[in-house]
Order: sequence, then C-alpha cells, then structure tokens
Amino acid sequence: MEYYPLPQPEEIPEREKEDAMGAYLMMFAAVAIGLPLPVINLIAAIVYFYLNKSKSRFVYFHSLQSLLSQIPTTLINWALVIWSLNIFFTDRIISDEFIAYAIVAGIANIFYFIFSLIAAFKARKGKMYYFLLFGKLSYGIVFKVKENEMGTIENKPPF
Amino acid sequence: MNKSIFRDILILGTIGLLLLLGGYWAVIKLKQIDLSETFNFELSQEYEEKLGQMIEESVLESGNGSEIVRNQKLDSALKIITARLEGSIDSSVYDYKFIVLESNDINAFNIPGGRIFIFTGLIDFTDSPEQLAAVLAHEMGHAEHKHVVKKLVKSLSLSAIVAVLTGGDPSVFTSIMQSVLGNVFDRESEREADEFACQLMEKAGIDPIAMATFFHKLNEKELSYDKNLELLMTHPHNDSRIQFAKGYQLKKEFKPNAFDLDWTEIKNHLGNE
Repeated sequence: MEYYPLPQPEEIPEREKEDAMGAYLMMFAAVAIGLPLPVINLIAAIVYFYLNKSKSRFVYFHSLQSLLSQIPTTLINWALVIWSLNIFFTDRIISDEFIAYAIVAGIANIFYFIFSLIAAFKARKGKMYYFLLFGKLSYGIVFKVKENEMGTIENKPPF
Repeated sequence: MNKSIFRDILILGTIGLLLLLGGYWAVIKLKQIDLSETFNFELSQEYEEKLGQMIEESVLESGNGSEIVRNQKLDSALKIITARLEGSIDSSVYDYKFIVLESNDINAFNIPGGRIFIFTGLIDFTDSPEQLAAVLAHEMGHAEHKHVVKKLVKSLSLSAIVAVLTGGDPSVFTSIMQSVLGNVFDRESEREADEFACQLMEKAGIDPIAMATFFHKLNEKELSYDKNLELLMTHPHNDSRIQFAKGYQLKKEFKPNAFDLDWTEIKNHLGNE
C-alpha cells in the first residue's frame, strides 16, 4: 500500500495552515449556534470540508479529521437532547441513568473541545496531528495512493 | 494500518464504557451520601421532641383563629384510622399525635416530634376515611423521613435551633415557625412521602387508590397548578401524584379492608358542633 509523502511545515503555505486550523475553530462557533440542535455543527463541518478538500492534502486531512471526529459527539449530544425532551414531555422524572449519561456527554464534549483546540494549534504550525482512530482513518483516506492515480490504467483478466 | 485502527476502536470503546460506568457509579455514590449524616447535622430525638412541643404550644396559642376541635365522633374515628396506620409502621421513633384544628383550609401539616395537625376543611373535603388516611400517611412519611427537621437545619443551621432550645435568641423561633408552617417541601421529599404513604397504606389494608382519588378531587377543585409549570414548582403536579398512586404495584395477596365508619355522619356531626 502506497502513501503520498507528508507535507512538511516549511513547505506548507500560510494560507493552507490557516484553512486547516479553521476546520477545528469553525466548529466552536457552529456549536454555539447549533445549541440545542447539535446537528448544525456537523452540517457546518460538512460544508467546510467540501469547500476546502481540494485545496491541498494538508487542508483535506485536517478538514476530514475535524468532520469525522465530530460524528460521535454529535450523536452523543443528540441522544441527550432527545432524552431530555422525552423526560420533559412524559413523566418528568430525571433518572440516575440520565444524570450518568449527561455527565458522560459533558466529559466527552470537554475532551473533544480540548483535542480540537490542540489540533487547531498544531495545524496552524503546519503540523500533522492525529486523533485516536479518526487520525488514522483520515490519513488513510487522504494520503493513500489510489490505483487509478498510479499512472496508466491496466486491464486485468477475470481470474 | 487495519490492526492499528482496530486497536484505536478498542481503546475508544473502552474509554467510552469506563466513562459510562464511572458516571453511573458517581451518581449512585453521590445519592448514597447523606450530607446530614456526613456532617452530623442530625437533631437529637430529645431536642426534636422539645422543639415539637414548643411549636405545638405556639401554634395552639397563636392559632390564627384556629382552635382545637373536640368532637367525640371524630376523635374516635380518627383513633381508628391512625391506629391502623401507626400499627402498620414497622418501627417508628415517634409516638404520633394528631390534632384537629378548626379551619376551612384543605390542609394538614406536621411539625417535629411526630405531631400532625389536621384542618377540619380537609376532613370535610374528603369523601371517605381512606382518603383522609392517605393524607395522614403522607404526612407521616414526611415525619419518618425527617423532612421538617432536615429543612429546618438546612435553612437555619443546627446551632441556631439548639440555641433556641437552650433558651437562646428567641427571634430565631419566629423563623422556625415560618419555616414549619410554610410546609413546603422539595419535589424529592414529596415523592418520598407519597411513596411511604402508598407502602404504609398497603400494609394497613388501605388501597392507595384513595390517594389518587383525593388528588383527582383536588384537581377538580382547581387547587393544582398548570402541569407545564411542574419543573418550576416545588411540589409534584397532582396528575403526577395521581399517576404514581395509580401505578403503585400492590402485592398479590393484598386485600383492602375498608374502614367501618359512617363518614358522612361524622362529617355532618363535625359541621353541627
């Protein structure tokens, strides 16, 4: 399996570094607007991703990592909102399970916030920063050399 | 590449699971911590009894126009109802005292030391002795869970209450009276008292449905507030309490034992006094 060489900080133009950083920072503004509908930040990330993916592999990687890493927290937050609404419109009894889930959701959001901030700073300096799982997935998608990019297309027999 | 992705999934999954279990554990642990026990905020039984006596005397002295009702028929009926309830409590630190006061208010309240005041308005409002028993069982629930004492200690501090009992600042006593007669508990306390009442009624052979009927009647009299405001209110909405009482799971062997009392006659007799 072949991968494109990683761009080094000194090779990356300032404009691309800023765009890569923006992928993480844009989400904070979107989260603020998106509350209590946590799907808005995801939509913003998707839009940002499609606007920036063609700029360079460096920007493509950071936009994709930001987008993918938002999915779990968005799902967690959505579940919390739906659960809260369910409580409000039904028995209005806040269970231990709900409080425990709210604590976990809060911690997950804090983690996400901290790691996104670190990633934004690293991106601004032109560095690669890999989140657990999402970093590897994004790297695989962005930097993997696809067969049709190798050069001439080669026909192969069926067996 | 694939291997390391699976490893990452495993790590993230483990972190998520640990967080979830940790969060649940934290909630359970926090609920177990009774701050009053941790910081020894309990008022001794002796002090509680003394405080109860002082408040009772003060209520009866000031009275706000309410006088003790002495009615033989009602007294004997009340004795039958309360004896059944008291006899069904497994173990209680209180020797309950029920005092009927002349007032049109549909209310009952309890003060420290197991003293429960009942307004004639409440008796007149109930359709059956079972409904009155439901309200009394609820008040006994507040007493058994020491809600009044806990509320007093929380709002006034233990030292202030002890100071009053040992002849200190009498002005604090006014605050104590206001707090006790305000009779407003938080939602959790009300739920605890309702739960206690249903359990006690079941043991006493009284169908907890009487509680639901009572609240339903209160609703009809429009004494409840808008259900949409429930989250803002200290008391659970009557509808929630009706649902709770209706949904209370009785044991299979439960057999209701109705009070052999002519409630209408007792009420009429009360009105003629």
